[in-house]
Amino acid sequence: MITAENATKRFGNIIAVDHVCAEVRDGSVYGLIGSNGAGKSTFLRMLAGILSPDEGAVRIDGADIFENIALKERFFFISDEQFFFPNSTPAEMKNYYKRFYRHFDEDRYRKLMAGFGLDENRKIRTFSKGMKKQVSVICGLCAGTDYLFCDETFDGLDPVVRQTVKSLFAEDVDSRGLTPVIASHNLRELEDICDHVGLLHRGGILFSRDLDEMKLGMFKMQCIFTGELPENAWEGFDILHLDRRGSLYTLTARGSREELLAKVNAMNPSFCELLPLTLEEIFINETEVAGYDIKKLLF
Amino acid sequence: MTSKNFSSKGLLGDSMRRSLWALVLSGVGFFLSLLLPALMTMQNALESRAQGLRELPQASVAFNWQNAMNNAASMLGGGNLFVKIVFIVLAVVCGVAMFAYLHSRQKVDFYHSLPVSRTRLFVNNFLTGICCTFSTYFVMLAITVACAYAMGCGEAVRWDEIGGAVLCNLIVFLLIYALTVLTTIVCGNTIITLLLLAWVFFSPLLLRMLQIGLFEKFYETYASGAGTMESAIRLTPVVQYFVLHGTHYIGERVMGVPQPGEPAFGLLAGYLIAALVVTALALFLFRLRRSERAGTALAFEPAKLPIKVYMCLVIGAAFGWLFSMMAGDFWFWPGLVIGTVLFHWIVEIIYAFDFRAIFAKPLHLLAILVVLVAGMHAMQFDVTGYDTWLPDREDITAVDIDSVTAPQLTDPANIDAVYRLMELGVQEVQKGTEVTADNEYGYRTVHITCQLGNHTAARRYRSIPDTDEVGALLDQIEQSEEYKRAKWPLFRFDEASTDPNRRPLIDVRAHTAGGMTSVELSNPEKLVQVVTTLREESLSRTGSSKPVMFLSLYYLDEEGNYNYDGEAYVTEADTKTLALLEEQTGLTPVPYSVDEVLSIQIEYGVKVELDATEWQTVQVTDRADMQALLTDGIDETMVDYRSDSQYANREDYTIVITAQLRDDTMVMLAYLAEDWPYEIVDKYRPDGVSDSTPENGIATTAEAVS
Repeated sequence: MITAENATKRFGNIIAVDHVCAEVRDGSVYGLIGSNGAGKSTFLRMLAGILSPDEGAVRIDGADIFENIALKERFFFISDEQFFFPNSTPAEMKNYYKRFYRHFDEDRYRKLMAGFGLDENRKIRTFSKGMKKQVSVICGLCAGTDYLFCDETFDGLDPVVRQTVKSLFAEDVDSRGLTPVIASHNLRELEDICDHVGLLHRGGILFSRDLDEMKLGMFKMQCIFTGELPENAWEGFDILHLDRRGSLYTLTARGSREELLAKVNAMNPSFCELLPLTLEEIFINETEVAGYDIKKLLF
Repeated sequence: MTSKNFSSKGLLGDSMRRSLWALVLSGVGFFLSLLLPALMTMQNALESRAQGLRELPQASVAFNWQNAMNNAASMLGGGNLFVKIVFIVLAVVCGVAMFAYLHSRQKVDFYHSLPVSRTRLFVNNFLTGICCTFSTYFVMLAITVACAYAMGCGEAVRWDEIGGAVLCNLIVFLLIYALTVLTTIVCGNTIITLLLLAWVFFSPLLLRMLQIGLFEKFYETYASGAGTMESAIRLTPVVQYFVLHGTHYIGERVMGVPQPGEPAFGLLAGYLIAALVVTALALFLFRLRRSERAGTALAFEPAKLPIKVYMCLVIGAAFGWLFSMMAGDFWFWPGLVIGTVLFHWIVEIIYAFDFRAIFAKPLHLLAILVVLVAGMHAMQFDVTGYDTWLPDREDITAVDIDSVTAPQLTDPANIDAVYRLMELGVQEVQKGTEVTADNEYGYRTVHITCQLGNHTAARRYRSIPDTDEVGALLDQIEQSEEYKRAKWPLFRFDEASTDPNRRPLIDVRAHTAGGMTSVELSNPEKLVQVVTTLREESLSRTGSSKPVMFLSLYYLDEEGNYNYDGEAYVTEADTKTLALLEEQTGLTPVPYSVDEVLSIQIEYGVKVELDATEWQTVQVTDRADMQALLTDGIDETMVDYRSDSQYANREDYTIVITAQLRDDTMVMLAYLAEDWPYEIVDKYRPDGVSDSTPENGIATTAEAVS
């Protein structure tokens, strides 16, 4: 299991990651979401042992990751800006990785390369951005590690490849207990694959929860009331967002479906509907509460 | 990586395959610098020999062939400058390239996320650069040697020279390479690496030159020794490399080919130790280096200030010195401020990669300026007492008065005499008398060197009033047996040498009844006899004596070249030597006679301004006066300038006496102190050029002619 305990990273005067606490359970798919400059890549680079935390600790199974070679053998890092040796081919990169990852599955590598339609003897520099990403993902999956750290990995992949990669991740999670940690802005991409999500904002973590739990603990409601509601009508609700247009109230609130329905019904609405939130809506609402208001950015 | 399947050897091979460019670069470099020139030299030698066999005597052919082989051997060994240039270029290029990944975040993420320890990564990259360079060097060397044997030029293959060259190349390369790697690790940007590298390589030399310049400017007694620049060059391996010939310092050139000189094992051992220390430091910093520093100017934040301060201090002082050299003393301080400010701006801009940082850290700039100005003022006003410094008498183990090399006089009497001279010099500094063009003839400037108990040598120029005491002290030193044995070429000359490449020969020259005549003396027995006798008489000689014969000491090499080794003089007092030389050379020295000269003229110099002298020339017309001048006169070419106190011009060098011979040559005449022709000089002195009576042994300057 990966644990971050008050992990902090500063770049000069900038606090990139600020006392982050999180847990990533083995065998889960962990999505790392956050606004621009939230510290996702920095956090991921700490997980990958590239950066050492200035404060706190980042551990796998209780051992610090930085300069821990035995632990580093258990994960593979796919950077947002992948590096390939000049003039190298996928086969050469594979051979290089094989030197470091003893469980590298060469048969699977060939199968996947063929499956993705990539020529392993073609120079990588002639590949498109998406193809390069595919090479990195294939090498990462075939490295046979326990953890796979992906920074914006789906960025640049076409929809078919994206779904294929997700399937491959799911397959490895299911078959050998792989734990992918995926940092991304594209929340829709994570929604259907992650089962745990950590939301980073301005270096700090806002929450780290199961996606299902999160979806079942926050709803969007649309209610119509015939008469005027008293000012304190919404007291007792944990409201993240409230909007009124005539008699139509649209609100986002925390709580279980049953709890929220019971409270609203007690107010005698002429119409009430509960809608599940998308991850994107959860992100916007949570970050808005934390002061990251899209309206403020636009107007 | 801790896994058992990890193989350093495999990783190294992989790294070398990926560094194919370095292999190609070094291959091309050594082909052009080693194989090709050696092949050309050997081919030329073969062609010349074939041609020579048809046209030249066999001895000449053999001599030319040997010379060509020496040249080829030098190409294969330590005399090949091109190979040195290639090694320096490769050390810098490979050192930067193997660790330049640290300057790119993308590459740092890649390498530092791999399961491989920083130590192994360092070792792998470090060895890759060395292997890429030396694998091709050894291959090219082997091919060159094989070609030499195949072409019948096996004589050019001298394994001791090749071994020495390989050892030297390896050690110097390692040091330059390690310094480059260290600089690359310390920096976060490749261009900054190259700039800092230039500073690392050349700043010791710059610093030493600056120290000499500032000391010469501020300290009136400063004297640089022979090893002043040598020590700076030693700290600059990229320069020192070119002064090495394998495991030796570069020696004399024979037929244009440099030969090995003094052994340089100590220097190479020092370089090897330095290379190991720098490598260890580089490894330590590599492990310590934070990945996030990729792309910044310097990877270690705490290093920024010391590097900036060091650079600003040196450049500020250098600008001050340069300005004062170009435009005068006044410009020292503006130059110092301009240099410091300018460089502070540049460094801050580089640190921030932002021109707007030009005015950043004004307090740093102010502090640096204050320190620099205070330091320069401390030198200007000699706060440390440099000019008035006197070592403890008991601490002095050896002294010298006219040498820039290690002092050679250890006799307590000589040390005491030199110490007294130093005391007089210090007293003069304390009096604050400034030696100017106006009063310089009243002073003796002595370059005093003291070897101290802690094996350091202290040097000072001391301007001392030319009093009887000073004259006596200098005479005591210069007439001492120790001084003569240490300084006179006569005592250094190896008259009994049997080395065929170092055959002693003396050219004896004297003015005889037949005019100026010279005879070569090369008979070993006669030569030993003359030298031995002259040495004995020189040591027993006391007081002044007029030199009448001039001996040029040479060694002849196998090619018949004269290698000059100094000169010696035979005086009227050396009667045994004179008799011996008369017997062996037939030369009997006689003074110049009036019949040999067309005219004798006396030039009277009169100072009209501080540093301007006007000369009036008068012809000596009286034959008796002419003969008197010639009888006591010494041909100035025969004056022993090492003991010039005996042949002083008693009128402050304001009188020049010259004889024009009938064969159209000119002879300048010098005199023993007691023989100075006062009466004749006064007799012909023009009106208004009077008052040359010596006072306390020092002639006063004549009144100016208006």
